[in-house]
Amino acid sequence: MNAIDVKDLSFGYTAEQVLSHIDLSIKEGEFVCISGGNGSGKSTLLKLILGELKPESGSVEIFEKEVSKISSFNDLGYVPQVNVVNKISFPVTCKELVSLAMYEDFGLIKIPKKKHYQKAIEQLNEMGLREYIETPFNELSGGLQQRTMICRAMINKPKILILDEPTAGVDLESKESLFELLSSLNKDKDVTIVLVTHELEAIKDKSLITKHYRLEEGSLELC
Amino acid sequence: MLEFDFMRRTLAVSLMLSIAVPLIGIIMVNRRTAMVGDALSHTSLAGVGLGLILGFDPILGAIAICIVAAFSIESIRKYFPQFGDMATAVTMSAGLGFAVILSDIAPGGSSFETYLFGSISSVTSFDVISTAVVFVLVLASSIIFYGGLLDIVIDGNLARLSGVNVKLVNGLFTLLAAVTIALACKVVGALLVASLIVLPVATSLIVSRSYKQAFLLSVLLGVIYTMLGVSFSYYFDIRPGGAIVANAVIGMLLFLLFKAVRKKLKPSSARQIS
Repeated sequence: MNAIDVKDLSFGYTAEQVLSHIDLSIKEGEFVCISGGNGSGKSTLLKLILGELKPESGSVEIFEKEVSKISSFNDLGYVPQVNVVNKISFPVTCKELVSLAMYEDFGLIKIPKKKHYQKAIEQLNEMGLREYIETPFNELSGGLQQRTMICRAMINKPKILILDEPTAGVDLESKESLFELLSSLNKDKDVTIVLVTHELEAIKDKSLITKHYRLEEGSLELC
Repeated sequence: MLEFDFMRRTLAVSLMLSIAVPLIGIIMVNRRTAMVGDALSHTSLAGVGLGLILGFDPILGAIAICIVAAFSIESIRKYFPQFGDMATAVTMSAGLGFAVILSDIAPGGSSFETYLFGSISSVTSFDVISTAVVFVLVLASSIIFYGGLLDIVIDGNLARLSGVNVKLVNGLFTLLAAVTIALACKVVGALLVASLIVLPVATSLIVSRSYKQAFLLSVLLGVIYTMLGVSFSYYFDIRPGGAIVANAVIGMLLFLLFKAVRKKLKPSSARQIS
């Protein structure tokens, strides 16, 4: 079964099209990279895959279900761009941040309960963030912030993990550690990885990439 | 001061508002939309003017105008996201413009002034009941949607993917924020409501190490600043809005001093972790 199926997708914010007749099939367990320069439409494509934007024409399916008809996104983990992460300037601990991804399980009163915090702590431990459980997220370095966001994205054990420019503004050591983590999630836990990046050279072990697409002038090419 | 009916009413309304306003404020400040509160409180004056001219309770006019203004800001922001806080500025200018015209026509200049700077003697039984209803709704929504509101503050798209009904939670928050701000104008004053939205939250953010701490401390500080402010207003015959803001500013300075001293004693407490 395909994890993600994009068929004949076109989209434009104005009359000019940002994406034109895009086709993209990602199978379960694949590690797919989508690269492209600034303004090539990478983030727009992700927004369409995540259902944040509605396509002008064509369709996006996740596990054979039209994205606009999906009621629960627990099968899909998402790590946003660094500019989203940087907006978190107020004190919210890593434990609080990660537990929020279990919102659907909170019950009628949407406050994280003890079991949600416990699960968040376990996940943070597993990702090597034991000492930052109670640390305010905004006090962490870029690399640790991205790791925490991956931890949040993985809390519901999704089958797909989508990352939007996760290495932007992150030091070299953290980048390497990030790709090691993604590789282990892909190989050991069979998580389908969709990585949108313009820093493909940061991936040392290119063998972990199953497919590499390049987005240019609204068209997607398999490299 | 409790021997007077009007003071009992004022204290009851003040206590409820001192809890409800920081609950609204913590979302607005962390979403970086605190100036929306300022715009709404100023715009509410147009509703006060309408009420005074047409002969209905000015607070009802303030509530109606605040709701229209709040949803107008949200709509303009949605359609023109590239213009940042333009929506807030446009709505505030329009509201204030009308308020100034209406204040010239409205009978009884002192009534209008009451809503500008706040008053402890004008709170009616109707104000107590309407504030109680809104207080219960704000408190209940803040607890029921605690996780959803926090997640929307972090990022609306992440919240949607986590299962938050972003449209519903945002809509409810906008409605309750508008009504609460309009109600607060009578005691705190339209010119100073924004201070009660921002200052307790800003103070709590100085020392808090988690969102839960910031949430609880904002409310506690809101209660302390407001109740002390209203009491000072009674004993020293000064405007309650000014007294509340003065307390809040002094409180914030004390917290900043505390943080500076703590940082000096424990320099590692303010580092960035890598």
